[in-house]
Formats: sequence, C-alpha cells, structure tokens
Amino acid sequence: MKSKVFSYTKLERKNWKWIYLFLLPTICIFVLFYMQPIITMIYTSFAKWDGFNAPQFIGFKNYMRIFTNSAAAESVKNLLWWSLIAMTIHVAFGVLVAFVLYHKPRGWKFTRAVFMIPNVISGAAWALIYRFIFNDQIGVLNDIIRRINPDFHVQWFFESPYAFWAVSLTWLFYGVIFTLLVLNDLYAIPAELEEAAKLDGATGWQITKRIHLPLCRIAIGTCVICAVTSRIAMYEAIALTTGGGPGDDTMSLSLLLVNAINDYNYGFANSIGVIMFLLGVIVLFVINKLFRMNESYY
Amino acid sequence: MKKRLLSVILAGAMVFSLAACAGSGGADKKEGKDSKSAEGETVLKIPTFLCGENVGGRYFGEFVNRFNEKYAGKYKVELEEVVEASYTEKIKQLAQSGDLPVLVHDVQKEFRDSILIPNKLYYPVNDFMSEHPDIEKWCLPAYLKSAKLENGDIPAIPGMHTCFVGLFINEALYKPKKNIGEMSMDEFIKSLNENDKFAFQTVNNAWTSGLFLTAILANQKGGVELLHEYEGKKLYNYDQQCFKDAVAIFLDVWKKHALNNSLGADYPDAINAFTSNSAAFISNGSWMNPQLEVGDAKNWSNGFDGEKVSAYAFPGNIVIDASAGSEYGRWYMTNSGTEKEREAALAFLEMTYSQPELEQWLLYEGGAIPRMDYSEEYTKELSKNKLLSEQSNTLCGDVTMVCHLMSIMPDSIANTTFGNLLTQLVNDDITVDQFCEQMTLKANEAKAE
Amino acid sequence: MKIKNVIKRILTKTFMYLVLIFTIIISVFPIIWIVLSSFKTNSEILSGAFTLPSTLETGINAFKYLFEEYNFLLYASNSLIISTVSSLVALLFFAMAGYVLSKYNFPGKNLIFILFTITMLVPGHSKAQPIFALVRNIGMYDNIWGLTIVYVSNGLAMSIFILKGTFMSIPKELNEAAMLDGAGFFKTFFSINFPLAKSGLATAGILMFLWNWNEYFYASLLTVSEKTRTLPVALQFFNQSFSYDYTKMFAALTLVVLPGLILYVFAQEQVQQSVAASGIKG
Repeated sequence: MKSKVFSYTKLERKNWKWIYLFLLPTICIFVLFYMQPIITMIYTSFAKWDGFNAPQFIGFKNYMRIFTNSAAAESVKNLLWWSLIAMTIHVAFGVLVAFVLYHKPRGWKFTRAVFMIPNVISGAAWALIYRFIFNDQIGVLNDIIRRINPDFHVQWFFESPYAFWAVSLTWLFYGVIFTLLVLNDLYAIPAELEEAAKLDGATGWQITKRIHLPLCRIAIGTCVICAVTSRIAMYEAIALTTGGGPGDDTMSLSLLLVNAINDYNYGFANSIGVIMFLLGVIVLFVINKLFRMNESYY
Repeated sequence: MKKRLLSVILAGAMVFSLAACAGSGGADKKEGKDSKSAEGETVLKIPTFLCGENVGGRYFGEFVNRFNEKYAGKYKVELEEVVEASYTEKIKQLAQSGDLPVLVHDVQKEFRDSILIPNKLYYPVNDFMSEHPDIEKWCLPAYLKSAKLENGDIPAIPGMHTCFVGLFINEALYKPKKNIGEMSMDEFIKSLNENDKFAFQTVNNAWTSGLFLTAILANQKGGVELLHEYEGKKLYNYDQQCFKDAVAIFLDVWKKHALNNSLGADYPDAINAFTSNSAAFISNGSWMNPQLEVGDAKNWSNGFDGEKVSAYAFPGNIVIDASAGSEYGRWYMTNSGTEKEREAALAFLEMTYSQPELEQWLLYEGGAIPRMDYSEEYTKELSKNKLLSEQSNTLCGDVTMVCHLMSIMPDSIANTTFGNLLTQLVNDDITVDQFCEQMTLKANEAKAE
Repeated sequence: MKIKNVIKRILTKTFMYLVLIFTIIISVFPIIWIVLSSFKTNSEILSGAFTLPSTLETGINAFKYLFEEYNFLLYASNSLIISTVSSLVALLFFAMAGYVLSKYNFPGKNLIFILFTITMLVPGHSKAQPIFALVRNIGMYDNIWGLTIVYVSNGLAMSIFILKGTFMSIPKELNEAAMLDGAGFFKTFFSINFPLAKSGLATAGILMFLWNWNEYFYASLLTVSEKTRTLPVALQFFNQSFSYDYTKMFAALTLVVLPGLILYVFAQEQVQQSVAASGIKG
C-alpha cells in the first residue's frame, strides 16, 4: 500500500527547500525535547541506575523483573480492560455527542458552551472532586442512592470490585476531545452530498450510517488512538483517587513506573517506560491500518 | 477573520522570540545562586517546603526574617518555595544537573546514601562543630556516632531533637483512669467501649493507622528490638511473628473501634474526624497542637473543644520519634558555592543551632532536646502551653523511643502499597497472614537489587 | 406508516435531549458543587452532600484570606501568558509541518511522521532530567519563558495528527490552481491552505492550550518562586496547606478553576464561530 516513490518530478524537487524549512522548527523541537529522553530511556532500561551515578549494564534483567512483578500482571489486565472500555464506550459517547450536536437540537449551543468545562479543570483537581463525590459519608452519589435504599454503604474507590469502575467513571463520559475531532470532520462534509442523498430519498439514519460515519473515519481513528494511549499513560486519575486500589485492583504501568522512581530504580522505571512506549506504538500501527488513516477522504 | 488569526499568531511568535532572547541574554540564571545585590550582600538561595501554610513554615519563615535582619547588608537568605510532595524530586534534579545549592535540608535517606555521600557532594562540618562545642554537647550520643562517616567526616550536624508522636485523646469522649503510658496495650484495648472510636486512615501512607500499628508492635515481644534494629534501614521481611501478632490485634481494634469514615480516609479526613467530636483517639505528633488551640476553632464542629485534649505516650510507655533526619542531621552544606556563600551558610547554621533559636523552634515544633539545659524563658513559655508541656514531660520520663513503621518500609511501599494492602485487610479480602506475605513480597520487589 | 415515523422521530428527539441533559449535568455539577462547598463550614461539609451553606460569611472570609495572602492574579496571568504563547507558537510550527506532510512527497517523509507520532508515547517522568538540564543550561530556570519553551513541545503528536488530517481534507486542486496562477510555495500555504484549515487549527490550538493550562509536573519542576507560579502549582501548594480546612481548600479550588472557566466562556464564542464558519467551503 505504501508505494515507494524513487523518482520525484522536477516540480517536487523544486519544493524541497521549502518543505524542509517548514519541517525545521518541529524537527528542532523533536531533537531537543524528545530524542535524548527516548535514547536515554531505551539505553538505561538495560541498566541498573539510581538516576545519578553511572548506570551499570545488566542486560534484560529489568524486563524479566517486569514479568515477575506481582503487580505487573494486574496492571496489564487493567490496561486491557480499560482500553477496551475506552475504545468502545468512551469513544462512542464522545462520537454520539458530536452527532447529536451536529443535528443542532434545542439547547445545543448551551451544551457546547459547558461541555468543555471538565477539560478546563486540571487532572489533580478533578481527582479530588471525584474523591468527594464518591465518598460514602458525604458524597453526592451515595446520598442520592440512599434516598431509595437507606442502608446503602459503599466506599466506591476503596472496595473491590468497585474501585476499578469508580476510576473508570472519572473519565468514561468525558470525551470532549473526541466530540471536537468528530465535529471537525462532520462540518467538513460538503453539503451537496447530503442534499443529493436526501433527494434520493435516504432517511436520516441512512445518511448517518452511509455518509456521516464513513467520512469521519479518520477522526474516529484519531479518537481511538488518543483514547487508548491515554489509558496507557493514565496516572493522576488513579494515583490521586485509589493509589492503585485495594491491593492491586487499579494498578497500572504508570503507577509502577512512579513507584520505581521513588525507590531510585531508574533503570527499572525506564524499562517500564519502554514497554509503555512499545504498547503505544503497536496501538498506533494497528489503528492506523484499521482505519486507513493515511488515505484522505476526497 | 483570517487576517486577525494570522496577525495574532505572528505577534505571538514575535513576543516569543523576543522573550527568548531577553531571557537568555539577560541575567545568567545559572550563576543565580551567586548573585550579589547592589549593596554587596551575599544572597543564599535555599529551596524549601517550609513555607506558606506548611506546619514547619511558621517558625522557619520568622527565623529567616530574623537572620536577614541580623545580617542585613552582609548576608541575605532567599527561600525558593517548593511543594512538599515535589521536594525530593526537585533536590534530585538539582543534584543531577550539578546545581545543588550551598545549603539543603531534609534530604531523603536514599539520596544521602547513594548520591550525596558517595560523590562527596557535602562539605564537612567537623570544623564548625569544633568551633561550637555547645552543639556537640546537645547532640544525642547515639546519633553523634552514626553521623560520622568512615573517613571521619561529619556531613551534617547530628540529631539532637526527639519528636513526640503519641496518642491524642479527647477527654470529653474518653476519660482515662490512669496515665495511658502506664497501661499495657491489652489493658488499654479492654478499657474501650463500643463508642470509643479511632481516627484511622488508609489513603496515602495511612499515617494515623501506621502509627498505632507501630505502637502495638512495640508492645509485642521482640517488637521494640525489631524497630531499633531497622532504624535508619529498610525492612524487607514482614513475616516475623511479632509483626503478624501486631497486625492481628490492629485488625481487631479496627473492626470494633475504627470510625466509619476511616476506610478511604486521608490525613485531613482523620484530623477532621478528631476535631468533630466523632473520634476519641488519634495517633499523631506535636505538629497537630496548633489545630487544638482556640485560634483554629472555626474548623471544629459538633461542640469539639481543643482544651479537653490531652496527649499521652502510647500504652507501654512507647513514644514514636518522627524527627526529620534525626540520626544523620537536617542541614547539609554542599560543595557548590563560593567562599562568601559558604561564610553565609556557616553563619546561618550558627544561628539555627543557637540556644535561643532552638528553644523558639521547640515552642513551635514540640518535642524536646534532652541534653540541653533549658533557659528560664523557655521553661516559662513552655508552661503556658498545656499540650507542649505534657509532651515535653512525657519525653523526659521513662519512655521507650522507637521509629515508626513507615520510615523502615521502602518508599513506594510506605507511600501507596501499605495503604492499599490495609484496605484489603479491613475489607476482609485478605487474611492477616496474606497481608504480611504480600508486604514481604512487595517490599522485596521494591529493592534496588 | 406515518405513525411509525412519528414515533421514531419522537424517540430520536428524546434520546438526543437525554444525551444533552446528561452531558450538561456531568459537566456542570462538579463546578457548582465546589463553589457551593467553599461557602460551607467544615462541619456543614462533613454532615452531608446536599447541605446548603447557612451563611455567606464563611466563604467570603475564606476567599478574602486567599486573596490577601496569595497573589492569584499573578498566577492566573502567568498561566495565561505561558499557555497562550506556547500554544500559538506551537500551532504555527505544527501547522507548517502538518501541511508539508499532508501534501508533498519527499525523502524521509514516512520516517519523520513516525518519529513525530511516537513522541506522544514517551512517559513524562522519563523526559524530566534532560529537560531540566536543558532549561538550566540555557539559563531559563524559574522563568516563565523557560516553561513556555518546554510547553511548545507538548502536544506535538496530537497536533500533527489533527493538522495533517485537516490539510489533507483540503482538495489538491486548489494548490494546483494556485500554482498555475504563479503563486509561490509560501503564498500557497498562507493565503490558500491556512485559512481553510481554521477548524483544525482551532481544535489543535484549544487542545494544546488546555493541556498547557493544566500542566503541573514541569511547572513545579522548572519554577520555584512565587512570581513564576502557575495555577496548577498554586493549587498544589494549597492542597498541602489547607488540606484539613475543607472550606479553604474548596475556595482555593474555585479560584484556581475560575480563570480557566472565564477564559473559556469568552473565547468559546469566537472559537465556535470560526469552527462553524469554516464548514462552508467554496
């Protein structure tokens, strides 16, 4: 599918100095802020390092350590479940809101005005708020539930098996980024397509299914990538609420990484970082292929 | 619209590039520590978390002002405020960039052991101490010995302070029949009624829970020995019998006497449980005293009266010493900095460790400096504060000082895993044996190898 | 037949309204709750979720204390300057890169795109030391411009994604037509493609702005003095200080969240207009 073009037209060659000029700032940023960290991360993942003195090369021991770590298995399991939920419910809800807003029902402007509010609030503040909302004694959720069932007592973040879901709920229905991305693509659909379809007698649902959705393919692909990689990197939503949950119930690779840093095991931490990195790369490639994100619509 | 957007972006880029030039061309921030103000003052920049509303910040802020007044025109201390949670990270980063300030305080033990000492980043205070014999007199003898390195250097002035961490009791809710310290742990637990509640917590380092667990452990056979043996080190094996017994007793106390908000409670929740007349007991240290004074009454509720609170040693006359850097000392001078800065730093240390200042510090921090002959002023001031005098008297009595469990757990265990396992334990998801097994397992995984 | 259609239409409409109402509630409720709680005393907060504050005095005192002791306006303006400048500069750079990646073929194109994309997978803690060293070396420690420079690198991958896609959706014919008219490379970019990419630019810009606005890790690492403090760092200071005084904690939370909200309310009209307007293509 990727055709290697070995011969470029004279016209294309002429543009090259501009092309590289345009790329220059971003390449500088990449080299300054990403290249060295990535190289250091990969290099020291094969070493025992306290973050200061010279790293001592130990081969694959750090990676073996990840495999034998008691919390790692739970972290990976949690990651898979969270990714699944993210890919489906999380993205779906964001896309749903986008479609609803696209049809401009009454009150759509107000919704558009307020739905980004959670994103304006920092992750730390959000976690704090939700710790109060899900608190058994003084939280809103249980207060409401107790009006129906007065003996209800669950400390959501601190009891298995609820902790996992409580953490999920702090982000599950907050998909503003997805809504924005999909709306972008929706607004870019030429009006003529829709009009032509309507003339041919297509119903609203058919238009949505056959025209809107396919033409949002790239946006939805981006959403899925964003959703899953956010789960890999997710830290504050867990650390500031459950801290890893009852036992290891809500443990994640990111928490393992930070724990390793606190213990001065930088080599081990970086090997976890490399794993997280590789997982992200896999997701990227798979989704890219699946959603054919390199082909444009038009 | 297009033109506006364009001009905004171009303006932004212009401002950005101008600022970038201005920033790097102007004051050379790398030498910032060395900057002299117009009058020829030497400026000492000290990163610290003892600022703002932090409980240690009240004394420290005032002290720095006094220092600056005394040495106006000659030395000046500027504090660089860091959030406590990010403090160790900041110091680590500074060390890695070779930019440690001349004076640094409260470093993590691992930082000292793996970075500060092996790389000789410290500036020995041997000379300083020989010039100030009083200071050596006040240092606790055990700490004097352990603070000295193999090569004879003393990196920081050794500990002299014993901190008070004990059992605070709201005597409006529970009236002890005799001094708690003189009871045995069994006696104390048996004397509790159904309504006598503890303010425990499970979040973060489960501080108030861990303290009481330590007290129970210290009352078990071999408990005190265990704590003494591992003081200043890390414990990796939690399958000892005394520990298991302690956990079993703790679980029992929790089941019967933990306040219902203890599951999922963080430190502020525990404090609030105590100051709302809900929990009769809380294990904590003298830094909590200000919250029991009338000045903090707006945070009290349900008729809580701070005057009714007394602080005791734990049953079995156990007092926990949570002194920061007690064994090895708090303040380190480093090898960076100029001659003038070193002078300023030495003057700073001299004033910090002068008797009037130390006594003033005691009045804020609580605890005691056992080897110091207190001045009359201090004794007078002390007697004005009920809690402080109670605590000071307790410390001077026949008590056994131990370190607390969280200080001998590996960092990541103390910060998160302990609380997480505790949550499972009190939810009956794991047994006491499984708890201890898991602690051992996780602690070993946290080892640096 | 007609009744079935009517029922379908009613169901669809109801469903749409339910989605909207749900979204509004979960977005707005947390804010209202914090603001309300900042007016309650500790005991009121502890006694239940839906209690209303008995007097306004508690809250007013808390806010007064915060304003007097801490310089909120400074923190807010620091956050504003840093987030705005870094996002705008980044937007320009990444738009240029995204444009080139979407329209042209050149050696190394795929490699470069892959390298850019994988930047989003690097964990923040791994970048800490190199960036710290870099900022200190260029003398920008404890300087809002140092932080700004670092923030320009945030959101590289996502913005390139979005912008590449946006430019890809602008038909190639426009470029070809411009070339026939004799327009140079730069002019083609600025006069023709850039304006048509408004919605993508707005999305990428907003995302980067929000990211930088809420960023805490590097802000706390690279600044120390009060004059360079941003809102997220200020919040952390309050958390450690006021943590047992719930009233003050919520008041601090409100104050930290407020500037962002105000900004958003003002800006969103502008932004949404440009997003909607760019849907109409000539």
